[in-house]
Amino acid sequence: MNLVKYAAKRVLRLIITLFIVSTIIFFVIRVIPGDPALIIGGVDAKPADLEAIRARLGTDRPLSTQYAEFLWSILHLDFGRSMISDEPVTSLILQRFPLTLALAVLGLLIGILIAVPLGVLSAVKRWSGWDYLGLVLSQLGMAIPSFWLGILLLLVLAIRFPIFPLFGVDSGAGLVLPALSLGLARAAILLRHTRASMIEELSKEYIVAARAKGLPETLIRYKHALKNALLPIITIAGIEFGYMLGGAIIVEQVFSLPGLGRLFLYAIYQRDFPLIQGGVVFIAVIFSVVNFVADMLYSIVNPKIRLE
Amino acid sequence: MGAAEPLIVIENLRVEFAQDGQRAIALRGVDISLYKNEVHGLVGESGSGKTITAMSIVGLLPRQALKLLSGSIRYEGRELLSRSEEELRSYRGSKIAMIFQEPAKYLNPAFTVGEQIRETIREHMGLDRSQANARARELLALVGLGNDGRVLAAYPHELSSGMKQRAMIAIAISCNPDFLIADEPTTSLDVTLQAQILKLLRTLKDMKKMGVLFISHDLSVIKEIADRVSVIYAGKIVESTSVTRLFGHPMHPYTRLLLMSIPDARRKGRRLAAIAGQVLDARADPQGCVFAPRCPMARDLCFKESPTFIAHEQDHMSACHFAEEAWKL
Repeated sequence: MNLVKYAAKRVLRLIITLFIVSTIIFFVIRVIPGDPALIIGGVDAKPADLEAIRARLGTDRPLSTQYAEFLWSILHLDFGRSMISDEPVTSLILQRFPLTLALAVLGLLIGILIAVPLGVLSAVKRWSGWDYLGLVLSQLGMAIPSFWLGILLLLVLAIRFPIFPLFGVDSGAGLVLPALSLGLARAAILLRHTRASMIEELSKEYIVAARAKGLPETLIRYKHALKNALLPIITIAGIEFGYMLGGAIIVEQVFSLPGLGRLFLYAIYQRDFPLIQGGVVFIAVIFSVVNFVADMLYSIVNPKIRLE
Repeated sequence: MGAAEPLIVIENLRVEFAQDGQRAIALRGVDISLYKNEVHGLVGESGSGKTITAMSIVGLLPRQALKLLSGSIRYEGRELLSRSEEELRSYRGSKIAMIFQEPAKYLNPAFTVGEQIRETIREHMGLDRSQANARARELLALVGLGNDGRVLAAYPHELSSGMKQRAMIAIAISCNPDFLIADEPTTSLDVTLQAQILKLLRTLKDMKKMGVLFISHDLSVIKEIADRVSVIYAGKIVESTSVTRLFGHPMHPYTRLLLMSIPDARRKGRRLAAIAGQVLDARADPQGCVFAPRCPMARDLCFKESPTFIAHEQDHMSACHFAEEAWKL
């Protein structure tokens, strides 16, 4: 019952967020230089032709009219059609979404699977060889740009040793390298937080009490300390996941993947107003959903945190 | 009391640690004999080495910082200090249990009280989940938390501080330990709760015939619960005897001064005595008595020669060259 009330509250907050976000993006893309009619017609287009294109796109009407119409249509979950391809924005996004989702999930999994065990190991064996190795790897992971890592992975694992395809995602194998280059970067960030969080928890008094109870050290680490240490890890992982769901522009470029990142990037290049607006609203929704899930996980991990 | 063999014997325990690159002495000779079915109070000011003594018994000194120098801790005649970590672990929680000062911090916030009792039982008694659960329920009823299972399913933050301390006691006695170390268990509680917890500990001790080491800086609490008392000063036990003798006829000037610093209704209107001077610096290693610099009756001998901790009268140990004169202070 409480949960329903809580969910309703969150939905209301999401609607307010969406209103603000879509309003801002509506005006921002119209204020920045660049006219979709000019892009469609080309620089040589005659003024009359441009007028005709503007009339067709509806960009010749007053801003207030356009804005009212925009709000009215998103109220009906209609994001319009792409100015360039004339396809519905919703179906363009939904076509690209599965790939992006798969990449984000894989990237997050790789990140967590590397970062959490290594971070725990680093924290437990502080200032040991393992710890330094973890710290150096995470420093490297954060310093290396993902396009460079992507190219390197391609060079080694697709060209020198052709284990994975160079591009394309016809088989699942095509996802491995891009997910790896996304995941390694997440792992670098998550490892640091896991280590710091575990070190903090391991210094708490309840750890002394657990030892005084005669529990084995593994149980103390992986049950008592880790459950408490998960809180900041969930926060960071949630934020990272949200970003990845909005599309990974660089990784998609390097691996020539048709994900959301490139869709939105080209939409901005081409001043494809409806697609940009749809994309921004979509990302805002995704972020809210991911946050909601992270908050639910929070209350499971730490019962002290109540959903309010 | 003294007739039986002691359960735990601590002899000449010395522990030191590194502080800012210099060595500091945490314990400079602790001798305590602990018996079953007896509450042994350990009293001293903060930093005097009470908790370090307790942690030494269960083998939980912080590894990097503290170095065990010498001494012996025997449990039923067998040396504990040379045991492996794995052997010590089988003692902890099952034979020797511990409760702490702030139950809010020493209970894990992420697990229910029931789970924190069950895991201890399952670790040491090899019971399955449902047996452990039944036992946890009985234990909670025993410490006065009811047997309707409500506390079993509660998280620590849902309990009041008195209930948390009761829950911690339930965990500690869950495997029927022979010995319980209580490190200032009532210090963070108000007076009413303090009295309730003391009564509970006393009842449990009588029921289970446990030995208890009750650590406190508060002599009035010690007077209420202890059968026997050891007074610790600057990492050294300076006096040890029965609670009645200690309060009636102290044989160490430090104890005498401590007793005079307790507020007493009968001495209303008089100034409370405070002990002049400062606690011995942990880095110092004097050849004389550790208390001599603050002692009002110190003489030349006290600065030259460290007094041995010996029985001056039947069942009354003191480390003072002039133990017989202390009560006159």
